[in-house]
Amino acid sequence: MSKDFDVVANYKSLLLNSPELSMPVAAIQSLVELIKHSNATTMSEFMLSINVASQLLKSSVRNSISLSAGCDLFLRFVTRNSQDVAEFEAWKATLIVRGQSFVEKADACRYKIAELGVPFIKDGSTILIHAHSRVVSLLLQKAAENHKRFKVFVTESSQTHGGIRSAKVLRAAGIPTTIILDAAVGYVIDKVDMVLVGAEGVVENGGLINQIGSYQMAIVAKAANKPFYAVAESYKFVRLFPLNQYDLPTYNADTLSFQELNVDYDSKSNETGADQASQGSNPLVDYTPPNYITLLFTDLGVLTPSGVSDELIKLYL
Amino acid sequence: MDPKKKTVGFVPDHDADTTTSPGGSNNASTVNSPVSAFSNTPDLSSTTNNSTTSTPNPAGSATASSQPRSINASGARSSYEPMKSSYEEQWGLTPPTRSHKTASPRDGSGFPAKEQGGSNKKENKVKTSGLGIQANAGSASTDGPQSSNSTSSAPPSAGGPPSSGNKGGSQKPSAPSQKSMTKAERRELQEKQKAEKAARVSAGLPASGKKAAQVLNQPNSGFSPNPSKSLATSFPGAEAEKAIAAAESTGQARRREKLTKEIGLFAHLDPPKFANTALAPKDLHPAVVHAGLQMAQFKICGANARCVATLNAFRKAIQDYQTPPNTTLSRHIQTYLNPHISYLVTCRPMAVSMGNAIRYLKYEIGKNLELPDEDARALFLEKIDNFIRDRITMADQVITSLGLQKIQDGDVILTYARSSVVQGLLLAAHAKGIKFKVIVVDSRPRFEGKQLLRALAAAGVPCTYVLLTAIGHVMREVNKVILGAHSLLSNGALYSRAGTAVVAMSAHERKIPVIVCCETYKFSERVQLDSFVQNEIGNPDELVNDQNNNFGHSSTRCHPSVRGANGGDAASAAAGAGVLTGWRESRDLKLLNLLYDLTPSEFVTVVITEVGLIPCTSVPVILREFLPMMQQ
Repeated sequence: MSKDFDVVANYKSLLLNSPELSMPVAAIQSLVELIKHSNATTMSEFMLSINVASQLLKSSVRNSISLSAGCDLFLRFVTRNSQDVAEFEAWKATLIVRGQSFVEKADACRYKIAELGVPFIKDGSTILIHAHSRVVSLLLQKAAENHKRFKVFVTESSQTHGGIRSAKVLRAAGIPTTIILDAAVGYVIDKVDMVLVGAEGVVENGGLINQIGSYQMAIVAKAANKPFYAVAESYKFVRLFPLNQYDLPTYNADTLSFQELNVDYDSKSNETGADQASQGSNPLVDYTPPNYITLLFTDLGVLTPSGVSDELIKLYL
Repeated sequence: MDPKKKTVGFVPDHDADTTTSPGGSNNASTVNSPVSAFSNTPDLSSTTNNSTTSTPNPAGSATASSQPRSINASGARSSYEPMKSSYEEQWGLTPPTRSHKTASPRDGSGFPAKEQGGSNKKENKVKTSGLGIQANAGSASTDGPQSSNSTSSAPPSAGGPPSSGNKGGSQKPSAPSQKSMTKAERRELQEKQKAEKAARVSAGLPASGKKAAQVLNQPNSGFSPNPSKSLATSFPGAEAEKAIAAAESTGQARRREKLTKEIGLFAHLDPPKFANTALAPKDLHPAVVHAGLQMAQFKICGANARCVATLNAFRKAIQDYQTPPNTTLSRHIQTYLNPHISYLVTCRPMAVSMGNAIRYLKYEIGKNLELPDEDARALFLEKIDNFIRDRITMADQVITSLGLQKIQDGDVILTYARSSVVQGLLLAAHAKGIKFKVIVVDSRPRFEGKQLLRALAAAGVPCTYVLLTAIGHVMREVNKVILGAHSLLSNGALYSRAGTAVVAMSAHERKIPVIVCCETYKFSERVQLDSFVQNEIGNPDELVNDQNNNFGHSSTRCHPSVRGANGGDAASAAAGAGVLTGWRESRDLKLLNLLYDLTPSEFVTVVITEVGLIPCTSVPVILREFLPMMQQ
């Protein structure tokens, strides 16, 4: 087995070196690297090493949802083609080639989604987005390039401050952008024409797993009768079926446990709530049920939530 | 029955039963049955007597009026047999009175000459087509005229304004010769039957008393056709067969008439059915006949059980099948199986699961027309076994393992009635050591939840038992609802035991996830928007009282004979709850016992199938993508 190759380190360095890379793509890329370095001689040894590696990857990060989507997709790809293996080395080579082409195509995914999504942005509209999502930013940039005039509210998203990053990107593209507090979603919703969010993962019923705060935005949007669109690449479709917020793999006994409240805020005055949140007691992602989602923009087309499950069934059956 | 477990919140017991259900205890029903027979019969006889002074059936009227009196005098014990026979006499009486009865309201209501002219045949036709019950009339050709009679014979129901024309059709004079003949025969047979039964009672169980007799489904159930039928099922011998034939040709048909007191909105549905070996073709395989009878009596109940029973019966039939000369097995077997299939349909409307299994079998047969006989037989048997293994047994195991992921420590799970898959899942979760509680919601008239409750309590799962009426109260404590399914339709709707929709909706109202466990072979191509278009009507007498819903004896509970009008009358009269007692005689009262309802897809959170967890809107995708794969 390829003990000498550290998948996790490879994955982390990949993400560090290219910030545009999304987690599932990076995961697939490092799995491809693993195959390259693999000196397994039998099929079962090889499969075992891949499985172990993907488990390692999943456990290496706190929020493994989009990562596991990538791993599962690649594993599915490997197992599906493992039946008709004539020659082991040749097969490994094809896997590497396919994996690399997948990584290349993943980039093209975003452009396709942007293309599909641009017609939904009307001239003179106001759009509310959440935190930072590469694909959402790209979509808005494309819309601006197409001479659409629109304004953007972006939530600060206090946990990661992704909103600030988004605002920078969008302002650079010449889009008037205002950062709002996470708590101000309800305040601005009447001025907004549509809500646009990215996704960590899209689950089997067409629901959405995304950075914390998406769910409440969806609820507010629903209450205000504003369309709520999710933007996601198809490699983020994940075989999960959460029943509610607490049915996610990221949920554990520590999440929102009450002991944390005993920590004296003043004694750690240099730490903000956000810092504490990232330390474990606060959830990083939430789950938006499909009935709050108007449409999903994906590279497979613009889908209704139930369309996602159709695609997933086709992929995994 | 299980002892009351310490873990059980509500006591799953007779007591619970009796407290929840209005009315007295089980004993009361048997002891007091004669009384009610008494109180009931005069009712009818008096009404009949009013109109039938010139009955052409003097014997019948005489017995009817005299019998109850004798019961009264003789007291409970001896009234045993008389009660029964008096009941029979009632039935025997009905034909003559019927005509008079129908005549009198007609005269009164001033619908004059019109019906005189109408010929019986024509009227029947109008009636059947109007109500859309051709299937029934067709399936039981001998009953055709009688069933029309029945609707008219229940003068109150049909006696109303517009249909009175039809009633005229039931007039005797215009009746075909066959009919009068059968009537004469009927009376004769009835006498014979009565004698037989008397002999049986005196020989079989005089000492054991009523209770034992009831448990055994023996004649004291008070229903003339049924005792013989239940006998037939328990001792499928020649004698029993004879009894069946006799019973079927006389009492059965008439009983059916009475039972089809149909409701306009549901007239397009098949009326409740009763096992009827007399109408079955003679060359049916006994295994299929057996399965059909068991299904008709709800001894085999539940989509999976019925499907497995059907397939196993067909398996035996194929095993014993002898290819006739000049044909091959694979070419002829379908013609051979067809009457079996239609027999099963006459026993009880086909379950979706059965339909899918049979369709699969036919598909396999059609695919292998060229095989030599023995190869084909072996192949079909293997295919049947594989179907049961892959689509039901293994599927249930996969569903259980997937479902386990959704049950966590501290859960309070609500379930409704009983589903074999849900029961398996809950028991597996308990065996796995997950600490959870179960609330079993149940409802009249079938109380299927008790069976689940017994299994869970025996395993030591903490349970609570409530009736459907308490759903709003218990729902606030629940955090998951797990339901079984009869079928999932192509629009994602869930077709399941009546009451499921209420449970799912009230869970949805509180945003509690509703989990449905369903094997993919139960998926249906059908689309249905409400519970009216397609449903199954159960025996309305089940609603009359539920005295017989004793916890221990599912057979007596489910047996239509035991729950027949007479027993019901007896018990309810005894308990003083005679509201529904004479419901057939009441002009404006109809009872509806629907067996299924439809839950719209938005109330179902997830469906657990053997192919994974899917939203219920993905049913057509599974049908399209997955099933063709399975058939290869």
